[in-house]
Amino acid sequence: MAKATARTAAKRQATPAPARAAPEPPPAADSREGALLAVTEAGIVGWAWDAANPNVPVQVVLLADDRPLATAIADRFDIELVRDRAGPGLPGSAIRLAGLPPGRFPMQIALRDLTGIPLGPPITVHGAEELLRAIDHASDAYDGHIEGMRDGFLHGWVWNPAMPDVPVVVELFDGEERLARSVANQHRGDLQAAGKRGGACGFAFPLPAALLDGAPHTLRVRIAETRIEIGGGPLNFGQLTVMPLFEEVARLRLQIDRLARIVEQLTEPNSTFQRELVRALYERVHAYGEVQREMVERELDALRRIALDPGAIAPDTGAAGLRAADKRG
Amino acid sequence: MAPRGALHAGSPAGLVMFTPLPPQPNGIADYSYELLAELSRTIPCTAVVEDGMQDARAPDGVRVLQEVEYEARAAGLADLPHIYQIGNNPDHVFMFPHMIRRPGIAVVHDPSLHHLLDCMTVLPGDIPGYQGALETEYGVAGRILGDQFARMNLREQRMYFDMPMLRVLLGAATGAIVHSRFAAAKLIARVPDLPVTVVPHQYSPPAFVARPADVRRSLGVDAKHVMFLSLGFVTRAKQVHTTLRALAAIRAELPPFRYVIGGEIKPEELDVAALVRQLGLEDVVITPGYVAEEDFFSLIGAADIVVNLRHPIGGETSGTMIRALGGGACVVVVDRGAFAEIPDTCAVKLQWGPDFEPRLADALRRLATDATLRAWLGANARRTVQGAHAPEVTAAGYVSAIRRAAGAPPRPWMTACAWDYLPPHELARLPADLPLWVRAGAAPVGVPGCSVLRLGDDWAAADPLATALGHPAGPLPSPDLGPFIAAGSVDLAVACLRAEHMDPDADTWLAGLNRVMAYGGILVLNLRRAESRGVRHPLETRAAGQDLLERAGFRVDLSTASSPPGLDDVDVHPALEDERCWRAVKVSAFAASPMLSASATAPGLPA
Repeated sequence: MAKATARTAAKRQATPAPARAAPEPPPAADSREGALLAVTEAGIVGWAWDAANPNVPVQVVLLADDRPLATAIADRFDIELVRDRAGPGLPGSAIRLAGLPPGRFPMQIALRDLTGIPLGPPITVHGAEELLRAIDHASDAYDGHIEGMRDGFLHGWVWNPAMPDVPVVVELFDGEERLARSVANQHRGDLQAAGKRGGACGFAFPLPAALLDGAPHTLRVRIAETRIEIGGGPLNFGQLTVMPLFEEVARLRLQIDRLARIVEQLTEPNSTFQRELVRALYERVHAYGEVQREMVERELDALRRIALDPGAIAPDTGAAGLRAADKRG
Repeated sequence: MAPRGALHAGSPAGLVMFTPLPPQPNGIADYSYELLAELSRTIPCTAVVEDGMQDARAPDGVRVLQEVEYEARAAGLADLPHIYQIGNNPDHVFMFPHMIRRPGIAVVHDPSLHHLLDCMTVLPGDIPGYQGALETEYGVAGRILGDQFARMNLREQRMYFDMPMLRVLLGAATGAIVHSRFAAAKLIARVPDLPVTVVPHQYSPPAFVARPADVRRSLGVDAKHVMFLSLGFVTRAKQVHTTLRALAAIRAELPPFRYVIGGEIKPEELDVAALVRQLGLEDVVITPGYVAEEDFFSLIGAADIVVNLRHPIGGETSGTMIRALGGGACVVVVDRGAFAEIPDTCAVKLQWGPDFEPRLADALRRLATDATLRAWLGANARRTVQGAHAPEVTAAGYVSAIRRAAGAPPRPWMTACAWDYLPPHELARLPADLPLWVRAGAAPVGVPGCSVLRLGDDWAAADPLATALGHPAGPLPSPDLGPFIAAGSVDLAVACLRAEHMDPDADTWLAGLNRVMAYGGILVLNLRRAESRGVRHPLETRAAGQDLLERAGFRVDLSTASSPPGLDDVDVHPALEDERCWRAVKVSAFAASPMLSASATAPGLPA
């Protein structure tokens, strides 16, 4: 069962009208009343109570196309229900699903009590994506790992064996600050060989240069919109571990010309470390530029010399290589 | 077989070749074996291998010595031409100390030797050695890059291509042999005064080639299939991914075919299996994995089309490639580097560019559907390579290079002077009216054989070099550098200038000085404001002077000013200085442009 606060937030993002039932409860055959409200990230939200026994929570069953899907106890107070005039305001219920129910869409989701009395009209779910948000994102539902930093990226993989057809959305966090979001659907041969979602479950987050400020950082990858972390993390790095990151960022991801652009972006470095970094990159750009300028000048000069005096590099035996032989041939 | 002595007129009395030899798993070991077999027909040859290589095999008649044995007999061999086979891997490190002691001809198999320098310095932990080599080769730019490598481990992969380190590693060579004009241009660019000879890479038929039918059967390739082949360790530079995409694009237009990728595959370099699946080529691609080099030619013999692409190019001449062409294979290459030198009638050469993939697809389609064209290309390649790359042609090229190196003037390198300076108590006794550079001990005392250049317009009638420091009296100071001073010929240059007469283009002036000076040579630069203290000039402050000198390939080891006295290495207001001098050592021939300034700072940063 989700907390009321989470449900409140989730309720504000509830599915659009087709998946949402009218808030007014229909007349019940007995004293029990209830209704399904919406499919939210907190679960499938509804309420139920027994007017004859208001202090006894009602146990409810959720059905998908008349097949039992989950059970729950409507035992949570939700002020939003009061404000929405959805029933008497208590108790509420949010049922989280363990996985997608079998069957075809559109699908009728209904609420009943244990005796089979319907509680409110069913709601219609038109596609799996509408139900996905209500799936229980328990950490053991996911199979994944953060593999480490390589090529200026943080690499890893993750999938949900219960829903192999649906790629997992992941988010990169530094502490509690979300840095990036990505879909774990990159194809890799090693993952395919290991039987992980046909190989299409890799992810790679580009590491932002802003991480190179010398301060300690804690990188985590979480399932999007949850606090479930992928194994292998968190990755900690700070001044002691930043050097390999330097190398990765500089060597592979940032070619010299791109370094210059990053320097321009870091126009207001705010720490000694960052200033040092910017200075180093700036010097590097200029030094490498000099090396290349000299290389081009010298090679042009060498080509001119060879063009003016081809014999200078040819052996005096007449065997001047393939071209000469080709002419003879 | 031609009789001994019949082939090479003017051949040397013998030669000494430093090289790896079989059974070392090194392509150059096989190359040298075949070369020695040819050379030893006319010239007595001694091969020197690394200590511990007691199993080294050489052709009959070639004496093989390990390093210690060579040193024991060095006196008897010292007058013979020495040849050093230099590849870009650890097997070649051992020969450099010998090359410094006994300069000879370097056979440069790869026009970038950065990885070899790595093997000599970084791998054994000699980071300062690596930094020093970068500074020698690339001056202040190299020093910046070397410092950043030492401090922050910063190094780009492209440094291995863009910074070939040839000047440093070939400093002691008397000549060079390369196997392509492409490599020759690279070498001449870095070491312009080195005599370079392009010698065709020899073609030696492989000792054993399996029957094509047997090879095809072992791979599961039917006789009616067109067989494409790519060989060697699968790297992105070999463009196997491009070939796969090209084949996928034209699959419907091709006759039944198979693409054999014969080489070790590392998925982190290129995930061939995933790409093959993605392109739906599982049924036509065969990946037998690692292929031993001796099996290359059996595969080549069984293939219809050898796709041998490289981009970016490293520049090395591939012995395997020469053998493939000599064996009559139909080969597709990128028209760059040494591959561009293959005659147009002997291989399909494709220009690299944004539309490379469709052009490759087009070429593969034409070749796959036209057996006559394949046969024509193969026959041309076989005839050309077996003629121009015959072992006797290569051996004659070596003899020619030896003659050329022997006739070349000695190349200037390090100064031979052992510098010494006046001790402090003797400096203190010097007359106060001597110029600052003498009183500060910036110039060394005279040593025999020291070549001195006096420059500038601010010399007193009595030459302090002769009167105070014991140098032989020399010619009158010349006002500026003339064009007739040989490169690298000056051990000590003393330039006494008046600030108001200082050349405003100091970068060019100092680059000229760099050219005429030997490595390790001393430059003493004295600047005096004789007439007007307000005159501005390029060397106005200590930092500006240091910057200029470093850009010009010098390392400053002394900087002092006359006023206020005693404040060495401190910048005072220029108007307060009457006289300033610098002592700098030439550490590099690399002269950087004013764009590269040690005091340059990034936008928005304080200096």
